[in-house]
Amino acid sequence: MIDNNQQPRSPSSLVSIDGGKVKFIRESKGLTQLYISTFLGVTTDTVSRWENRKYPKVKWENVEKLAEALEVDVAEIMDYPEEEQEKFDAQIEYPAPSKPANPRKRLIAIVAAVFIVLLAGAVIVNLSHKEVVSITATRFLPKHIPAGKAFPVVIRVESNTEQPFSFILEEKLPENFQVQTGIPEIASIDTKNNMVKWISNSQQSPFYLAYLAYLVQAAPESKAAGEVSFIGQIKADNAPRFERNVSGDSVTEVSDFHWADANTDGVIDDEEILMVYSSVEVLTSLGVDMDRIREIWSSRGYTWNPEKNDYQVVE
Amino acid sequence: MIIRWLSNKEDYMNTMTGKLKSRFEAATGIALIILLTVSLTASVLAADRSFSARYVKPRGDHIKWEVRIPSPPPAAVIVTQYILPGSEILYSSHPLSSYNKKKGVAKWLLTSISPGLLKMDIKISKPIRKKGEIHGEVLFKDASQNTTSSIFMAPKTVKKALEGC
Repeated sequence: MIDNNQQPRSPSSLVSIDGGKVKFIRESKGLTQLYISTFLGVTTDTVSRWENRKYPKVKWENVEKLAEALEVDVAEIMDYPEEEQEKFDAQIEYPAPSKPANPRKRLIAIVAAVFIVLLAGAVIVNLSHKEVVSITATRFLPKHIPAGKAFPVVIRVESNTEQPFSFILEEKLPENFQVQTGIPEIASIDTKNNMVKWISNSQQSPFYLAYLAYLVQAAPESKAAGEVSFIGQIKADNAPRFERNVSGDSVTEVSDFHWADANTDGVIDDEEILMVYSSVEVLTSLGVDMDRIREIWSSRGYTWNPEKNDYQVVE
Repeated sequence: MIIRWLSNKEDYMNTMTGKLKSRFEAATGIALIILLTVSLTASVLAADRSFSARYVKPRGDHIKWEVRIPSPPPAAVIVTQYILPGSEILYSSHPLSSYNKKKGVAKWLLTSISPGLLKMDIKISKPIRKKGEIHGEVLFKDASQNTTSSIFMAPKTVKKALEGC
């Protein structure tokens, strides 16, 4: 039994071992203290004390067995004088001690990374998002309309973009109905199919279309028309092109009541006249007789005079 | 070494807690200031958008009142005054739209009105002597909600009404 110092040793002689090296070599090879202790025939406490340098002196025979268990040369686990230790350390590469993590810096780094990811995502989404232009048309129709007298129909056209938009709007009137006038100017009237068309360019949202329509009073039976329906369609030449039905009011009833008398009580009350005046600009442009409506409102009511084919104010 | 590590950790946590606390207090203060500013601005803007009406002189034979019109103004406003039945309206600052003498109900349909204070007055043949003998109403259409709203007018107190005479 000869160690590297070339000095013969007896099995029971005590030698110094480097417990730190023993522990390092054992852990690097994935060996447990239990395995070492079983191999050597000692307790795990003994192995622990060797590694923690609480038993700096170990029997030579145990050092040999320990080296064999660790599958290293005896010299690697011996505790040599300092100059010899330097030679030994140069042969074994110890891992560089890791710097303790700074939790604050780590947190800042995480927050910065999350922010950058979110910002990048927002930029990508913004660049890839293309605004889809959408135009809607909503019709406002009186609930009751007189036969033979004009009544207004207002259509509000809106776009979801601030950019000017162009559209074509077609309205199909019920049978026996005709258009008296419209704003803006009507582009075409198809009398065969009873359709009117507007073509509008570069308008800002919202935009109002309106027209005066009337039921051709050919005979008293025209009042029995009951409910009639208006159908419309709006087309836009945007990217992509689309067509959409005109929404809002589409059904009205032919009766002897004034179109402004929504509740058909024979009186244009405060609420009804305020409703009329909410569209006063459009109605005035259409040529609606606002003074007549005001006169009916300020009176006790009105009645329908079939002989004059007009409403008569009740004083 | 473990004990020293634990001690350092405790010091670190205490320091971080202190810093966080002071920053939280600063952030809370800034948030409160911003909230107060926004609330004040909103209340000022809301005042400009709301209707109001009051009697300036609700007693005697010369009745005065004023209506605050918001911006933007509605297309039409209906002002109604309920005076003593049978009273004549001898003068009106604005054209009277209708007057039911039997019921003592006078109405004005005002259109093309400007935002701001609208002052109105009438002279009547039967003077108002008691608080309950007169009241009014302002009706308008709220364009934002597409509903009809009204403001009720009544003299505040008898004492204050006398002060207006």
